[in-house]
Amino acid sequence: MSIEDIIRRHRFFRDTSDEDVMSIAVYANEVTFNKDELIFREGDKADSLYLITYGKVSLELSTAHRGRVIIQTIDKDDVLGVSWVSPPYRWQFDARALMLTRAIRIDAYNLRRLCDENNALGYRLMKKMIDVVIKRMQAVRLQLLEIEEM
Amino acid sequence: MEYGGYIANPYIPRIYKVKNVKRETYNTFTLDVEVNDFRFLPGQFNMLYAFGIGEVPISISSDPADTHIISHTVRRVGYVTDAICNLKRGDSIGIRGPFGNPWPIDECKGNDILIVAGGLGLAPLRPLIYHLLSYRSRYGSVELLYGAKTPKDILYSKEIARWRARFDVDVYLTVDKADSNWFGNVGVVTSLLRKVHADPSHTYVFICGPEIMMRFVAKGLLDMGFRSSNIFISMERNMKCAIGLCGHCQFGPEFVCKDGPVFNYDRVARLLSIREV
Repeated sequence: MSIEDIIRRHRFFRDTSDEDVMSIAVYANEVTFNKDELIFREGDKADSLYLITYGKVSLELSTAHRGRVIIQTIDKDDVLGVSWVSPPYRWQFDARALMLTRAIRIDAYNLRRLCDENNALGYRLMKKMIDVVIKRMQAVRLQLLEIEEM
Repeated sequence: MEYGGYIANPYIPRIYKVKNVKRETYNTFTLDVEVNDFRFLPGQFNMLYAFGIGEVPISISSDPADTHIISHTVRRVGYVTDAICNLKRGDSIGIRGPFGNPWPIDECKGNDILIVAGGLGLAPLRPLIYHLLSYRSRYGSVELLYGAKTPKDILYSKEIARWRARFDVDVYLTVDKADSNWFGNVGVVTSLLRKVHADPSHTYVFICGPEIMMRFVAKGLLDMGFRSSNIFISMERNMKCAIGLCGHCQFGPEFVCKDGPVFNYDRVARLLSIREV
């Protein structure tokens, strides 16, 4: 299966035009992470958008007195990494593979450049990213309410 | 035979012996009580009476096919539940019941089943799960989504492991908070909805948990195309008389003890979003 096909099959890009997929796929490559491998670290440059195709990733925060705290898990068909969208382009959390994980990594620098050059594609992509961000924000709000009630 | 519909005087508790007390989590206990041919339907509740202290409504959490032992899973949240959780094997407990409207187990035959539980909400759903597994061939796919606060707050963990091991049930777990020793999902129970394989047009959904969670789960399911008429939720209110007379558990025009605790979502959806009902 070509990288374009994998991108097209991923939930995030499922209704995306062939033209957009072809433009984005130029900057994409397949990556694999072993169990416990750190994918990115808080504060590092946010240089990638990952489309998880297999496995599970934890978003973590390391604290001095509580050790690693898992904030959220992300698995197949999810998107990993939203910090590449807005300055200062730095990861806000650590991301670690909880099991063998496969993903498509899209180079964020070139993706941003592509969005600047092709505003229509950029708008469509940003709408998808906003949807991811809104759903995660709603989930966090619900998580806070649930923690109080359960 | 002891059955809710044939209680001679619903105000008088019958006295039973505690057979076993099992600690589920740091503050939650399951009491097994010895009874004699006690029949109930999944989703019904009993009023448990701690002598000299008070009475609380608690869902029955055991297998409805077992008419000699009934279980109640109780969380320590006040004086009465504290006293109940402190009971030991051989102690006496007063029970009135069973009361309330059960899960519609006959209506959902031939359909896929989706069960969504949050925290202690798994307890009223456990008899339903036992029933579904006992009569597995009557139903399509059976899926359970369960969210707990932390891995230590997961109820019935050994049973969940057994259910997960079956090939005819899909079980998904998530927790709100976890440390690095947890390798499962972290996030709200609504994040599990997209794992559901059930056919939205032929699925009955049973939800129990914090009210806010039930609202968001129902909303997520409606967005996915599930029918509101096939969604059922179990409500919790301050039940006192348990037979719809005292009004303590009134929820708009409904009495949770008598008209519920299991409601069709259509019937209460509007009430759930009204302030100060």
